Amino acid sequence: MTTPLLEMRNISKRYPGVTALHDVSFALHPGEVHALVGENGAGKSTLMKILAGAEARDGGEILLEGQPIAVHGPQDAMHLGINIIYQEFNLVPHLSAAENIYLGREPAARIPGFIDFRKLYRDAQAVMDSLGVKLDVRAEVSRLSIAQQQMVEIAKATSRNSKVIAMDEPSATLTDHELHNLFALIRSLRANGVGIIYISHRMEEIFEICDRVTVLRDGELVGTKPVAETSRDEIIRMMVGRTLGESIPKRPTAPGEVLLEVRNLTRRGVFHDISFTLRQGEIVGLGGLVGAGRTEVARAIFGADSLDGGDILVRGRAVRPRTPRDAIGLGIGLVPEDRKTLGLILNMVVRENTTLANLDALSHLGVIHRRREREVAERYVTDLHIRTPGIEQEVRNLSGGNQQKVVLAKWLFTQSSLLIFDEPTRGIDVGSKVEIYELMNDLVARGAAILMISSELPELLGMSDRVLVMHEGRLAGELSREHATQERVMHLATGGE
Amino acid sequence: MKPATRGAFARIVLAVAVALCLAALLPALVRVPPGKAVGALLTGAFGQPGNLRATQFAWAGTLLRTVPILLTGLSVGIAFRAGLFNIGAEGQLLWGALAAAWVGAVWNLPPALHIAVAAGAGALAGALWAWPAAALKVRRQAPEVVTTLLLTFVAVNATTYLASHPLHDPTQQGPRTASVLPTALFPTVPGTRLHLGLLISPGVAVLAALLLQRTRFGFQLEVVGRNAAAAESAGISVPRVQTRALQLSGAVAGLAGAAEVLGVHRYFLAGFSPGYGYEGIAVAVLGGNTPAGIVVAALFWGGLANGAVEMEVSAGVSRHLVTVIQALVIITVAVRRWPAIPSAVRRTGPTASARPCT
Repeated sequence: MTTPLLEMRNISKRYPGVTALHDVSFALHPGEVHALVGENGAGKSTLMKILAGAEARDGGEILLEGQPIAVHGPQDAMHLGINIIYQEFNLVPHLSAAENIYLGREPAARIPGFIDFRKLYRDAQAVMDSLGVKLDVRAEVSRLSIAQQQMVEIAKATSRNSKVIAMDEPSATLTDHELHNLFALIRSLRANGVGIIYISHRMEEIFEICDRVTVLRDGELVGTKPVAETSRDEIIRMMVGRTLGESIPKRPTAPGEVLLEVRNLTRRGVFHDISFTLRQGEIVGLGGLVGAGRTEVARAIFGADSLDGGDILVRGRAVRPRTPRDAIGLGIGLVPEDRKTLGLILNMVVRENTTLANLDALSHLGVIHRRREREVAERYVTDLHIRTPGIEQEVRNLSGGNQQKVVLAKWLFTQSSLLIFDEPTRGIDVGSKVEIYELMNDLVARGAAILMISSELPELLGMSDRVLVMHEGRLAGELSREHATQERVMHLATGGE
Repeated sequence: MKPATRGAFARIVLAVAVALCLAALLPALVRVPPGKAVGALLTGAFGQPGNLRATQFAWAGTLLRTVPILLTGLSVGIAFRAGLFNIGAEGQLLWGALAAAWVGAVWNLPPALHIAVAAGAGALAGALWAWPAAALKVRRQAPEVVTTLLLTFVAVNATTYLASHPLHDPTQQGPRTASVLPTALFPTVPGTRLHLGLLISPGVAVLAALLLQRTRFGFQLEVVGRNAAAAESAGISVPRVQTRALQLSGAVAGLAGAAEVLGVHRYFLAGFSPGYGYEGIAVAVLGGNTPAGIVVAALFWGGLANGAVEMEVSAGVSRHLVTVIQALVIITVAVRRWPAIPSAVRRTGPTASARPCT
């Protein structure tokens, strides 16, 4: 057998109190796309950080093309041809794509200290062209879409003659069309002998693009299999150590009175003439491509953005929330897409994040009743099965799924009956996803109404009683649960009649 | 103590220790044994074991110096907790001092009430002077760092003008107001210059601690300071919290000015403050923005300032050396990451054996 391009042997990493990785081995061949999967906390990120030199390993060794290597920092890794593309990109927003690609190694002009910009742009464009990506490298990065920014990150990596590129959840923020482009790009890298580590929660993608899959669980290696010889169920079983028969546990609902009605909602240049109703006991899905205006509609209903026209009726009464505070008073809660900056205060504890939005209920004459506050937090930790060492734990230390449950606890404690979930399970592992779905089921069973924005079609179709689809700021159509299929949703989302 | 608080505390203690070690080397430059200079500094600040008179004298001076900077430190610290840099405590202090002097000199009220009203007027004036910065911040997104600082220059000149002309005491020389009536003067400890401010300033520290830890407003202030976007999404009115935080900060600074006038100077004299407002920034940083920490930091800071005189007299080292020491302390406190010895030891551990290939 040929020498692997990259080999990580018996890697171990301990943090105070936890073993993040125990004796994990991993091999990557040239021209291979190797999926790395596992629930959050399984050790994928730690393994990548060790590869990148961002974390020191406690044991084991790394070999590149058969030679042991030592990486003491991201710079070392890059020099060796190992590049990691993280979920949060490392781009400078106010520089052009080309400047970002060559950041730190700009071609020198003849006069010392000056940059040869002509060469910089020519080279950058050549890199983009070689990747088959249509993108103007003179464009400022802040003006590019997330997908385009990702292309810039990949161009940055390939321009360094990368041998190994690791992508951490590259598809999390992409639409299906953009994902298609990404896959084309990955295939061309593979053809050039680059080894790719592909971290994802999405099974479909693994079966479409990857050659082998390695599963981690609780910091240990469960196994590595050729994708062709395994199945979705087997991978999930390896990840969770149990079988998840049907991964989306939808329960039948009985819609009641209309809780929310919006008529002709318009925010100029963002969305136009959005009208729909939301009934008690109902989950209504809102699908569409990224940038179609779904999040913006949610923000307007939540009072976070202003409206140029249209009416909002809550329980039949016309209202116009101007701030989130107004909306919360009307019983509306928003579980935001960006939970780390909008949903939570990461460096505050579970207790504080739970009671944040409804302190009035816990205070008397402005003084917080500490014991009752603790009781409330304890109750939600128990009820929602939030896995945390205690209510005094900072939420930054919780996994994505448990963080999301804390956001939910916050709205449950405000007695919100009208909840907007924006990408409720993004970046959340399979096991926690199911728990979030069950919580949504419980909420509607108890009389709440949910508007769920989702870019994951199985989730959108699986959880919704009805599906609304937006395209370029307008409502393109509505599909009943029976009629909603992936094809129909995509058809409407991409502007089909 | 939360682990994070403990870490911050350890870091500050380390910083002060490093700064003092560096400072001990400075007298050597002027050919004074470091031990002698530091000894004199400490004697001047906190007294001498066995010498009761000297100790009482030293503490009286240190406490007197601590009162205003404890209040300005709390002022800056409260704003800091809301994520706001109120570096204009000096201006708020000046207005507080002038307002207290005027109310104390012109109004006729019964004794205890007069004190309360004059001190209250000082706090109110400080809060009002913080208001434009708050309004510009929440309505026009003007950074409060810029506005509070620049408003201080306005305050310095406006109060000087008022004390020189409209409110000038014609019987006196210099830019000063009429003397405060005896009914409004703070009672003092017999035989010292220590005044009611000695009780007021720690009292305010206790109230600030209760506010931050126990009340809804204190919690909202903290949340806004840590993540304003998430606070907004949770229904907290960020503009209102920021406005109130800055006004509260201004009120405490104004009270500091009032305490100096009613307790020490007995009238407003332009330029009376040697920069208590700015020292408050240092004290807040040194105290880690917690009320308890600020109390300790203010005492330390006041001790340094007070001990400087003794150092000059008995060791022959310029009192300005203390300014250098204070600057060193701020620089070392500003250092966020100290070389960590344990991690260096770890690096020579197991991973080193996997390294010989390089």
